Amino acid sequence: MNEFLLLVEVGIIDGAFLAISAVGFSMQFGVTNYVNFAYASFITFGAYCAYLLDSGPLHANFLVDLVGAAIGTAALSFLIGSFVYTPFARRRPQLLFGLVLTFCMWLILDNLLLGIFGYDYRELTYTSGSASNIGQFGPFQMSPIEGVFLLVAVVTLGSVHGLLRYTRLGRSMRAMSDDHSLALVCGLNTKRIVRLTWIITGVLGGVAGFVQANQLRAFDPGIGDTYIYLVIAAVIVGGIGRPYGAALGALIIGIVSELSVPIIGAALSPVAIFGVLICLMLFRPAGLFGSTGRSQFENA
Amino acid sequence: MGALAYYGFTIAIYTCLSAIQALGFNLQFGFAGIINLAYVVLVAVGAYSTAIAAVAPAPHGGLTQYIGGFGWPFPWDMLFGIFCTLAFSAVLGGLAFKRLREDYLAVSMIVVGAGLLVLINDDVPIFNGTSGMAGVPGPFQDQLGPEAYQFVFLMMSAVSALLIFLLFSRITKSPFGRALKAVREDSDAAASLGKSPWRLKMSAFLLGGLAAGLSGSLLILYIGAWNTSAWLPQESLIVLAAIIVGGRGNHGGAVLGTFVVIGVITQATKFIPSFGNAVLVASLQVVSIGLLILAFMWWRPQGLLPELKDQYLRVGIKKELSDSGPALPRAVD
Repeated sequence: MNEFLLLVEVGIIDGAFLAISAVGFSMQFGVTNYVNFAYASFITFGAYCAYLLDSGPLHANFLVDLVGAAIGTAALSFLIGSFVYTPFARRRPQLLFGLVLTFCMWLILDNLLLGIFGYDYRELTYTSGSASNIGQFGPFQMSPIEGVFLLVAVVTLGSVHGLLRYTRLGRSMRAMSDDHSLALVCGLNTKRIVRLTWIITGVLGGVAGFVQANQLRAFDPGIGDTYIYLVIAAVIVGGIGRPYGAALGALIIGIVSELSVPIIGAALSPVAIFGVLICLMLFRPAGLFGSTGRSQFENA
Repeated sequence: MGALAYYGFTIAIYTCLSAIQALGFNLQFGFAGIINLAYVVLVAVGAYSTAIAAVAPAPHGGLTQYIGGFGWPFPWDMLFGIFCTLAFSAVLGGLAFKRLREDYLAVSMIVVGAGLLVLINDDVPIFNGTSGMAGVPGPFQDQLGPEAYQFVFLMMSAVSALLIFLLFSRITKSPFGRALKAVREDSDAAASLGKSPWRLKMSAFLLGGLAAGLSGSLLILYIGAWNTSAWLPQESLIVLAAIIVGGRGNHGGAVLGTFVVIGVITQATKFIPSFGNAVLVASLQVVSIGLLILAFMWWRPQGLLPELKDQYLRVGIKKELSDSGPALPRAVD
C-alpha cells in the first residue's frame, strides 16, 4: 500500500511538471491554431538557456536560471511565431502547409541546437547533490530540490489559471480558442492576442525545459524530442486546445506511467501510455474536454 | 572494386530505396491527403521485422537481445517484413482514421513515432535497444562476389522501384485514384456520393505501408544493420522534402524530388566546412533540407512537377458541347 501511495505521489509530481508544457502546447494551439511540433525544440532551448546561465562564467542562482530560461524561450517563441509562422499562415493558409511548416521548424531548430551543443551530456549544478537528503513524510518522499521545482510548477500553473480566469487577456484567449472568427467580429485585437500567446506559451516551454533538465539530471539536445511525446499525449488526452484538459491529461499520463512501472517495468511505460491513447481513440477521439469537428486552421 | 565505384553503388541503391519510400509517402500524403509525418516509422517496422526473420536466434544470456530470430532465407524474410508493415499499418489506420480529424491524426502519428522510438531505445529485449539489429545477411551474399552482389542488389532495388512506380501509376489512374483525390479535396462531398472516406484512406495508407515495408526490408538487407538512429523524426524529412520539392500527387515528381534531395544531401557536405563539433555537418544537412522545404512551400508549393489535372473531364464536356450545341450551362468550368 505504501509503495502504491509513493508511486501515486511520484506520478502526481511528474504530472505537475508535465502539465507546464502540456498547458503551453494546448493553449498555443487553441489560440493560434498551429499544431506546433517545434515546441519540442522550445523545451530543449529552455533547458540550454538555464544551463548556459548556470554553468557559464555567470554561475547564476536558481531564480536567475529560471527567469532566463523563461525569457529566452519566450523570445524564441515570439520570433518564430511572428516572423515565420504568421507570414506563412497568411501566404499558405492550408492545414497541410501549417503542419509541414512546424514539423520542419522543429527539426531545423533541433539540429541547430545539436550543431551548437553536440551530443555531450550536460548537467545543472544544483541537480548533482540532490539525491542525498530526501525527506520522508509518511509514505511519501521528496528531496528539497524536487520540492522547489514542484513549487515552481504549482506557481506557474496557478498563474496560468489566474490569467485565463480573471484577466481580460485570458478571457480573450479563451474566446479565440472557442471561435476565432467570432472573436474577431466582436472586436478583439486578435493579432495582439496571438503575439502575447506566443510569448506566454514560450515562457511555459522554457520553464518546462528547465524543470525537465533537472528531472533528467543529465541531458543532451534530445531532451525535448523524447519529452514531447509525453507532452502531446497529455494534450491529446485532454483534448487539443484545452489548457485545463491538458493539465488533467498530464496528471493522468504521469500517474498511469508511474503505476505501470511495477507491473510492466520502467522501460515498457510507453506501452501504458499507448494503452491510454488507444482507449481514448476508441471511446473519446476528441479527448476528455475536446470538441469534434473541423480544424479551424483555415480561418486563422 | 574501387572505393568510388562502391560509393556510386551505395548512392544508387539508396536513391532507389528512397524513391520507393517517396512513392509510398506520396500516395498517402499527396493523393489521399493523410498527413503522416511519421512515415519513417513504417519503414522501421519493415526493417526490424525483416531483421528478426533473417537472423539466427539471440544467444542465450548474451549482450544482444531481441525477439524472434527465425533464420529464414532471402525472399521469406523480406515478405515477412512487408507483411508485418502491412499489419502494423492496418492496426494504426484502423485506430486513427475512423474518428480522428486531420490535425489530430497528424499529431497522433507523431506521438506514436516518438513513443515507439523511446520504447525501442529503452527496452533492450525487443530489438536490442539503441545498438539495434546487426549482422543481417544480404540476399545471396555468400554465393556472389562482392562486385556482383552490389550489382545484383542495385538491379533488385531498381526493379522494385520501377514496379512500385508502375503499380501506383496504374492505381491512381483508375477510378479508385480519382476517388482518393475526391476524398482529399472534400471528404464530406465524397461521402455524399457514396465513397467511403475511411475505406479509401485506409487503402492508400496500406499501399503506402507496402512501399515502406519493401523499402525498409531492402534497406536492412543492404546495410545489414538497423538501430534507432536510422528512424529519427528527421528521416521523415527526407521523404517529405522529396514530395514537396518534386510535387504532391505526381509519381514522376516523387522520383524527381528524391533525386534532388539525395543530390542536396550528398553535395551539401562538400560546401559545409568541417568546423565545430563532430555532429555539426550532419545537423546542418538536416537544416538545409528543412530550409529547402520551407523555400519550396513559400515560392513553389506545387513542386517542380505539379499534379496533373485530370483530362478526362474536359474532353467529355467538349464532346458533349459539340454534340448538343451551345445550350449547355457554363457552370461546369
